[in-house]
Amino acid sequence: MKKLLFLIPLTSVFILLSLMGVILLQQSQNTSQKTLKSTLVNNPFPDTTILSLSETIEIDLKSKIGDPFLVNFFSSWCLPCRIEVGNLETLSEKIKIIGISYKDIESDTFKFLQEFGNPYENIGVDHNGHTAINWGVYGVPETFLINSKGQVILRHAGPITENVLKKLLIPKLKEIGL
Amino acid sequence: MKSFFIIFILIYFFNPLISNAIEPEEILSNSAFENRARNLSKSIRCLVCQNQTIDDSDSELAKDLRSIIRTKIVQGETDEEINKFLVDRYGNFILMNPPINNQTIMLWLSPLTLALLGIVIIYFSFRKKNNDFK
Repeated sequence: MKKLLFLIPLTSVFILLSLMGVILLQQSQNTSQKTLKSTLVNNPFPDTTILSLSETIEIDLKSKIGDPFLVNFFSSWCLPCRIEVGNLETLSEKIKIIGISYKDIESDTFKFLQEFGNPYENIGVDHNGHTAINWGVYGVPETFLINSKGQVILRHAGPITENVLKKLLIPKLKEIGL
Repeated sequence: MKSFFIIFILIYFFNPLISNAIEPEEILSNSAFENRARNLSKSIRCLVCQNQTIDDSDSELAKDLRSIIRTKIVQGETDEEINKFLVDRYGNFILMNPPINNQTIMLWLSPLTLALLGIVIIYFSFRKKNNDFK
């Protein structure tokens, strides 16, 4: 009997290790992306009412529900944002893009749009970064794809490069019939 | 030696004042609100530096998170509501002390597993020694 006592910790370790293995396997299957998963994906986008770039009107994003659209957080001081403008223009032929100018000076945003192009249907401003936090944004650029029911179906942190466009966004747009 | 002693005393007494990143204009005039904001900030992870709390971090995102926490406190939200708002947007990862659930169970089980593994190893190595003596 005494000899069998050592089996208790051994069995406990075996059970715990197996449990950890199963959990790790499940988690690795769930997360295909290297970046942290956004909690917004598969959920409705957060209530967002922002001032337009020239601060003339308020934009309520709920009014955009009905057609799919993209929400892109960008800034004139962000270098990767310059890289993605061309690809966003390509996307704007298929889908509406709402730009949110993140912690920027308005005159700089206008210069940025003149110099690199304007793929946006509407542009809102987020002077204090609170709108970005409401969307769980880590930094700019960050892009969210919203379906016609108002649910976030994709989030991409970082610039929309040629590769991201072809491998991530275009296939996702095809899935929703665009 | 004397200068070393003076530097040590200065660091020891003034370190708490310089170890947090909070700027004077962020501080709320209501000290009860400010204390709540500071306590909450100490439990929230800076997401772009990861091993610091937002109370310690100089990053822009940490500053914005501190600002939104203060705005919500002034608006009358409870600590639980503010924590929920942040977890809903950034996941449990934003908490320095994540709750036990399916996602974090590994984190909590691993020290226990390693401790048990250690006990097993010690047990076997002592048994072997005893047998060798016999």
